[in-house]
Amino acid sequence: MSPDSALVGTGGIAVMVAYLVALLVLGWMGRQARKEKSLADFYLGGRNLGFFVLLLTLYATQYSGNTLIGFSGSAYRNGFAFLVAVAFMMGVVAMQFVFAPKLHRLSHEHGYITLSDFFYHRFRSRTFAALISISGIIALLNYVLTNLKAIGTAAETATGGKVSFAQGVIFLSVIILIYETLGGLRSVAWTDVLQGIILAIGCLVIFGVILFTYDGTSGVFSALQEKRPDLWQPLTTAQYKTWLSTLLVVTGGVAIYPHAIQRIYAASDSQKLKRAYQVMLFMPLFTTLLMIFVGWVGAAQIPGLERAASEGITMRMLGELTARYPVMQFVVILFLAAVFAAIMSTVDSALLSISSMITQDLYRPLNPSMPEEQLTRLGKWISWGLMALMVPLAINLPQTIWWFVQIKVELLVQALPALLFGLYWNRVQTGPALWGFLVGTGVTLLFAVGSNFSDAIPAKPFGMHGGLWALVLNILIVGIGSTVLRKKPSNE
Amino acid sequence: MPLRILLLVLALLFLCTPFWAVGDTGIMAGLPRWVIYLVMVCVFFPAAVSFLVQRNWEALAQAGDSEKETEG
Repeated sequence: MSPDSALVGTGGIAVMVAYLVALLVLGWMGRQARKEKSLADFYLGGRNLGFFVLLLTLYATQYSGNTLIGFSGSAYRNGFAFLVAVAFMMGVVAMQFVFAPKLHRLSHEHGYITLSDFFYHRFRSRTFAALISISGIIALLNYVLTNLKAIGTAAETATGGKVSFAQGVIFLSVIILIYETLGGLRSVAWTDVLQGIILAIGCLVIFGVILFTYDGTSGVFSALQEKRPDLWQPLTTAQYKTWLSTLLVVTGGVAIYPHAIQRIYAASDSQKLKRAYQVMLFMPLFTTLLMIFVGWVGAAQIPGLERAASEGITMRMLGELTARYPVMQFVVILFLAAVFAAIMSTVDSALLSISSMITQDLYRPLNPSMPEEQLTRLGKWISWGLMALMVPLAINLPQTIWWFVQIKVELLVQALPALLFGLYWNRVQTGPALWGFLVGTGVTLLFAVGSNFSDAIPAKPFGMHGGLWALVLNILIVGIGSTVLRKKPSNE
Repeated sequence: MPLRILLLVLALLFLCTPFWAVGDTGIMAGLPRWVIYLVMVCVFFPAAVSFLVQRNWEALAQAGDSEKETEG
């Protein structure tokens, strides 16, 4: 990649540097605002996040780099069928609404730090709590790895190779680690405010500029009907089944992301959390839908791109735009800033959550007398250690291993039945809840891994995700198992 | 109550899928039907769930008292 192909000039790089410096300053301010050296202060911001910070940290965390890059590419390839993304981004918030009110109350009453703290408190099984943590850690490690890979690509593309892929990954990882270990969730949430604002403004401006350039919605739809009539076709039965299955699996799996749960714990009061969710319900309208629309515009204006090329459709259109109107260079800078903001806000939250699960759920039970100050320090070292492990992996591992990423939500959703039953159904028993989770996880892995090695095992039996069938099995085990065990007289 | 809310949310999610236009019916072959779909998913769904949130948040926070029943 030649430096001449850089997407941003000196001015753009100066803006990026200013943005990174601002993140470090916010991290330092988070440290200064520290109230005590406790796990709750470090991992949950002292359970004191107000409405504005809470809203933007929920927003910046839910929307990753995939929203800006992957969603437009998918809309380019799949047309209107990809509107499922708008539905599942709203579904995630709707699903969280079902369990957040009670989980928030219990977390404040009983001092939960992680998702597993609820499982231990409710089911009194250290094994179950540890398994939930391990499942969350595996899913989030994948998330961090893919986002690190994306950030390296973004840095290399933006600078035309002046900053290599590896340098980009290392440099930005260190920035994330510094502000995260300075002030924990408080710093991360404050940086999320900046990142959330950049992300929202970026999506709106990019949408507006592209819409204006390509003759508004009527111009776009006319061009689409002429050049890509296939995008308008009604769904086939098979496509609809995939739509429904994707909607359910992603809605349930993303709703239970460990770092999203920790934001529920971190809300200062229930009413602020409620209002934040009410606003969050409408955010896909201003983020996901806009980026899908950008993908459709790309399909109408630059048809015929292969899969890899279609992933860069937004950047390609912005490149053409600035070639025609150099004054529009600021939009490219804004887009890149939004990409960095979306990726970094996801990585920092996921990393902090992994660190909390290792410290609180896996290490603390082995050493219960360790003071919280030391545990917090240990958690910071764990963050640095994890990043030292993941950065080389992100740089060196081939893209082919990323099939595993696709099943992360299918794995995470297996904890949802135990969470919902545990919160609201008094009769649920530990054994069936644990076995439901284990069987659900096992069946998900069987379909996901098996389909890579044998044609006899489909990844989507009857057109639905393996994880969805596993979820049904999981629910049946928890429900029927708890009912049967409850009916058994205790002296038998 | 929580079960009713969960089922309502799932029902709303289902309503906001294009189940009414699957196959070769041609119902969704033109732009206006997709606009209707967009209105359903982008306006009706969040507005309906937001209403549910407003009405049921407190009740959900207090629903059940599960921990007393836990058996290992």
